[in-house]
Amino acid sequence: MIAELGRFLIALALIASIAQMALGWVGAAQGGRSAYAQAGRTASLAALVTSAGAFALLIVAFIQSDFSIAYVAGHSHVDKPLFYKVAAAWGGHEGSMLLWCLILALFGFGLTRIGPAEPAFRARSVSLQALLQSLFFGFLVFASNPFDRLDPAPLQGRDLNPILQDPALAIHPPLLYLGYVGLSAAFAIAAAGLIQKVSGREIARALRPWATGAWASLTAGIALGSWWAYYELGWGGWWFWDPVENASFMPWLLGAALVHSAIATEKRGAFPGWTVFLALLAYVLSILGAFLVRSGVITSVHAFALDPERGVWILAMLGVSAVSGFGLFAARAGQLGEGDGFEPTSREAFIGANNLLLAAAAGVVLVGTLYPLFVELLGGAPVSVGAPYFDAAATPLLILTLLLVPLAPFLPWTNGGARPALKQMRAAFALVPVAAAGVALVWFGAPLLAVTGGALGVWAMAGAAMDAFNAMPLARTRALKFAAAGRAMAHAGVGFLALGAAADASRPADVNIALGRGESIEIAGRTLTLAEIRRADGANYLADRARIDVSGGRSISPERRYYWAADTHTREVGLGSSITGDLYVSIGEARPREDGSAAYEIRAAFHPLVWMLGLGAFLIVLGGFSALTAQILTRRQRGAQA
Amino acid sequence: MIVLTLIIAALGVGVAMWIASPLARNAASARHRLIAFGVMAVLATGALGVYVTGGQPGLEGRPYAATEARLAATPPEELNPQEQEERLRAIVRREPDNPEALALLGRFLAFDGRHLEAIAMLERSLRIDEDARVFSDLGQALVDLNEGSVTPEAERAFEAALALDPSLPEPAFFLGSAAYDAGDRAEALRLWAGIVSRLPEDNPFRQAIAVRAADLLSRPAGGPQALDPATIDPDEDPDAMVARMVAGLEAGLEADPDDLSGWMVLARVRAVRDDRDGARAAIAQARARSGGDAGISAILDALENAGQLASGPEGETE
Repeated sequence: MIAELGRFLIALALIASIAQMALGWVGAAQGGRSAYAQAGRTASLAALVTSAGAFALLIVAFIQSDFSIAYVAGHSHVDKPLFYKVAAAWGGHEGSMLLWCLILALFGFGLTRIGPAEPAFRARSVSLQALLQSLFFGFLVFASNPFDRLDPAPLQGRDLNPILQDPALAIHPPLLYLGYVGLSAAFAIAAAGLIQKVSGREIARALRPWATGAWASLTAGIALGSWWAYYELGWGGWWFWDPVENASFMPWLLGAALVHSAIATEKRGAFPGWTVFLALLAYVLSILGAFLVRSGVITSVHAFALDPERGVWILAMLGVSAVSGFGLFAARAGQLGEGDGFEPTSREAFIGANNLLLAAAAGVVLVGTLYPLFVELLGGAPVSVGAPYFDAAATPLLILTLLLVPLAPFLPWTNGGARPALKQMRAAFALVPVAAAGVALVWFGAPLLAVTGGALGVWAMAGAAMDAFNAMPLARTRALKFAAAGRAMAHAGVGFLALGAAADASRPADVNIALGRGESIEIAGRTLTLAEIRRADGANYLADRARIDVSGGRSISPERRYYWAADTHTREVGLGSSITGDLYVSIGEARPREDGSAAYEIRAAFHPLVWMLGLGAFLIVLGGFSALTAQILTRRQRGAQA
Repeated sequence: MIVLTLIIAALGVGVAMWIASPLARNAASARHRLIAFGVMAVLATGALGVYVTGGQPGLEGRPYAATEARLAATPPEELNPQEQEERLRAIVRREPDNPEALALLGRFLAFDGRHLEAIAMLERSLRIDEDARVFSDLGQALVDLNEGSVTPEAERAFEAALALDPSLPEPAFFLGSAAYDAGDRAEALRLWAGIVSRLPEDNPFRQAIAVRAADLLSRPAGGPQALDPATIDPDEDPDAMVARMVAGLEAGLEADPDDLSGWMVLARVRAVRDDRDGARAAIAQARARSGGDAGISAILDALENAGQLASGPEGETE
């Protein structure tokens, strides 16, 4: 019953989305206040309620371990802990697509409540959002249905991929989808604005909260994914320039550009076309990400659905979104105007420069990600583009961006004037050489890029601190306080990220060694001794847990697990965190020695200041949501004034 | 199915009416009301149409609780192996401290070749209740996991089993194997003979262990390598080399006549060289030095049978 009800509910959600699109379209044509627009809004709520109902039923099916549902049988097991049974509802392709659709419907409904102020513009946005919803619900219903059945039902499920059975990865997809799908609202608003011939400034004002919220969520999603990769995969890194990571990084870069250009467009009318173009492109790149992850065209540890047929569907959705969005842009961009112009030392100029650098970095990542696909498509031998390319091509652009980040808040709009800004930033300037020397000394032998990145990280942090110091006392309303705090936190977060990345790039070489009980290794001035190995089985896995004693009295407990239902071994990294960094230890297989004793493969590393990466991401997310709060408060003030 | 159909129909019509309700409420004319009705009808039939493209309303759901109840209600002998395993797992899930269920599941998994899981289950069982049979099964699972090698962990399990129940044949057999692998043939013979002597005549393990012990203990230790490597000439006639080895063995036994395994090796080599009387004589020497041990005697009987030396004039058994 649950499976069939769920199937019917997503059919209803598809039909409600189509109704939302059609009724909203007619409603927009009638000025946005007619019964049709109202019916479109009701349809959006119906789509949200039915998809939420379907999602709830899928979770119930997982809790009940109903293996007559193919998706449940493929991603669960009766012995799996309840938390992961629930999380498995979005741990595979079909369930995650349902979550994606649910979030699309949520944003569709959100647009009906807090969309553009002008009724026709809002109704058109709701309608276009429904077009995107309909494409994805169609894909869900006809090519990725999470309620497809198995007859006869298997006795037991195949379990969720063990590396996904992790708290961070349970939360990572919903946040990531809030980011990806949030950009769909910006796309819908931008396209609706072009159709309704709304000014660039109005479009920017309408899409800013959506873009900001989406970008902050995307940041949180990427950060959690990166943290997961750091401690779960056991490879000792936090960013691998993996195609799927790149697929999320490209919309993030463009989202960052969009968030800033929309400010310039809303406040000063600058870059209206560019802002609209970014809103369209960021969402198109989100769908490109979905295509890369789910089509099987790339090989990645993160690619969790490898189905060329589904890839064709997503490619079609990508085509529809791109052709309609950019076609509309080509036809109507002229009406957006070009803004009033600005001086090279104005805030707009620096925002524009940063936008170009971020977009260029996104382009570099796009080329590196897609190049192997094109080579194969043209019949060439398989090639892979790895870290050396991205480090050499994208990192310098990001370092240049970092140089400009703290300057823009001190510059006046339009007419410019660098002198007052430089005067206000004296303290920040003073910190730069100190930081550069410090970074170079502490991590002697660090690559030049790391030294530069670390120094500029401190530069960004100092600039953010100065910005907060200057702007907070002047902010008279709550909205302005949130805006100033958000900006400072986000910019400081970028600084922490840069410094953390620079420190990690300078870390000592990892140690890979076979260690017997009682034996020790040295890393980063610490002695690590394998004290004991004992069993630490869980509900659905068997585990050997090591106790590694660290000089100074602490101990670290990495595990090697065997998930029997999935017949898969995993490594659970042991971390010893301190202010100076993380001691990172993973344990592998036991190997017999000639004397009959056992030695265990140990990978030990020291990641200096790696906590700065987490703090940086946290500050960016906090800054993003603080800015979002400021925008919502401002809208309320405007509404009250109106 | 009827309930499901009713729910689906009610949901479809209800949601369609809800969406079309603003149109119906604001309908100023019969035409507008007709449009509202049309929208409602299209939505309801559309949803139903999309559903029937893949829906299987006649297919019941199968929550695991229902599967578990069915397995529990079915006699085990009517279940296939996978169902039996699930039945056992269900019992272990319900009664995680039931040592018998844990041990049974462990044996099942071991039989199925899933040694890691089997070991975990047997260890869990032993943490609750120490049982000689379970220790022995654990030892065997460890041996299987290590491709036949009796590891120190397996030895510990077998020793614990033997301490609890000396009559169990498997622990002694595997401990004997471990001693044999370590080159301690005397200890292997002691363990194997001990268990053979303890087992009743009609126990099938008795004969099996005796035959295996006779085979292993009569194998030349290292074959030609038993000779001093410095004395080996690659061009030497193989027969001459074997003769030298036999001479070496004989010399060794002269110095240490209580080396029963040595006599068994000599018997086997002589039998292979067609010296049947010599072989019988070597076995007789071993028997004479066994102190009347029934286990050793059974092993020597097995060796005689293997070499077909037990009776009949020379040449008759060829």
